[in-house]
Amino acid sequence: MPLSRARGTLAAVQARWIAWWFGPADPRPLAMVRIGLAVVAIWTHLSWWPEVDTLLAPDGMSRLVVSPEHGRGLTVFALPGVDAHSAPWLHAATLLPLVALLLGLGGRWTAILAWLVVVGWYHRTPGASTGGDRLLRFALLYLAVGGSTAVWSVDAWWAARRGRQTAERVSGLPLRLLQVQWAAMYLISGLEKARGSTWRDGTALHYALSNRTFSRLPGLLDPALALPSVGLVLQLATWAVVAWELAFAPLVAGRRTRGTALLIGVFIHVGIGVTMEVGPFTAVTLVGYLAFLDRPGGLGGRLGLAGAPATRVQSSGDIHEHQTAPESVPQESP
Amino acid sequence: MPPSPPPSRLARVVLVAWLGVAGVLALDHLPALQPVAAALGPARRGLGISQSWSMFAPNPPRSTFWLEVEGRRGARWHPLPQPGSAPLQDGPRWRYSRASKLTRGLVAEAATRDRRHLAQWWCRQDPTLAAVRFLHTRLPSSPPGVAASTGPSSRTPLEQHRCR
Repeated sequence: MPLSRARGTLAAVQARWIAWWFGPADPRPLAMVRIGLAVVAIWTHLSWWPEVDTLLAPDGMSRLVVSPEHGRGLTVFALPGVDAHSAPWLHAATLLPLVALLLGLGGRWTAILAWLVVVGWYHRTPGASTGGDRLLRFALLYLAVGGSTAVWSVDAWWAARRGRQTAERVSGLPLRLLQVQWAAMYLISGLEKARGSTWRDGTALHYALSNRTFSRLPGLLDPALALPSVGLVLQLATWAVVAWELAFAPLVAGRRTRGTALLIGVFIHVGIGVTMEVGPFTAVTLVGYLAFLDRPGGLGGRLGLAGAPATRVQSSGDIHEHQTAPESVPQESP
Repeated sequence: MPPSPPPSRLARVVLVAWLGVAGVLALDHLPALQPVAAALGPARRGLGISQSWSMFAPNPPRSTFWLEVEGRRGARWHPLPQPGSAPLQDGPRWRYSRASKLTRGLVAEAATRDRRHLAQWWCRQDPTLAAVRFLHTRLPSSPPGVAASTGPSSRTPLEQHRCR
């Protein structure tokens, strides 16, 4: 009897696990993530332009600086025949998949191409890659799971023109992967910070903002950092950042606390973005927050983004009929 | 309407494997997981899927630092315009310099081989150079409540390379 009960519990846990990861989701948050990521990727692409000669071109500094095994990986700049003259043209050509991603043209294949473009920068010059670039790579990889062009896209417009019904639900897997990745990132960062003496004594933000490498407005910030009142605010903010990062995962898991956790995050990341130049990290992180709009009754519900009846599910590029509610447990396969 | 098909066994296996890989890479500092993390090294580098999210942890640097490069012509050393090596500016900074990120990484003790490559690049760029040397320059940050430091910067010589 206890054995059969244990089996039943295990089966229920497994079913809930499958339902959470693979259950249907509103397509609009995923479409918003696609559009947001495409904008960030295009902006990041354009930000490479002043340094194409130095960092991406075959005879650029980084090509000769980095170890020989670098710069020859999965990047268009390692193709045979590419030289200093063709490198800028090649860089321009790699903008096309990113624009296609913005327009929602080509389904998951465009996301894969966009991922390849972003991975190509990393393979060419790994030493110039930032945490924001890495987060962008993860997010594009998750978009490649499929479903991001189900709405607000050329794909959806074209399908409608051909008389095909628009998907009202997509697989929730890409959104879940994004949510877990974001929560894991904050948890790892929070645990790392909790080990540091400056995060514990409350001076970490002072030193981060004092660093001239990152300071966006040193002429304005440096005098302010010398004020005792600013020091006190930064001390409290330092502790708040660590506490918030450590608590982010449980807070976004809670129905009532998710909105608060995200609003605090928006405040922190906008603050970082205004005061520090840290590459695409701020923008990618905030775009990832859109994945958390997927939940009935959550922020998405308040914004009118959830709760639509399930009729058609687009999963991994294919459209299936579906009649289960978003949080119900799907049938186990035979 | 028929119910939607459940996820395939392959999809579930791939998901569990992916989460396992991500978990190992996130916990690669644990001795028990280090052999597995090392085995995953090619995938981590190839796909760029490191789960290191330090972000000014465990502590932000207490100084602004950068790499200075100097070239010798005859008996005199001249500063070379190393891309990404001018962090001290009072005006607003609107664009992230990836060359700066790359050059900052070259001050590390372990970057000797990369600095040798950089020296070779400089020697190729300017055939009049007889040698190239590197300096690790630091401007310490002032503690809270103290006016921002404007100098002097400390300059620690790194190695020197002959061009010919």
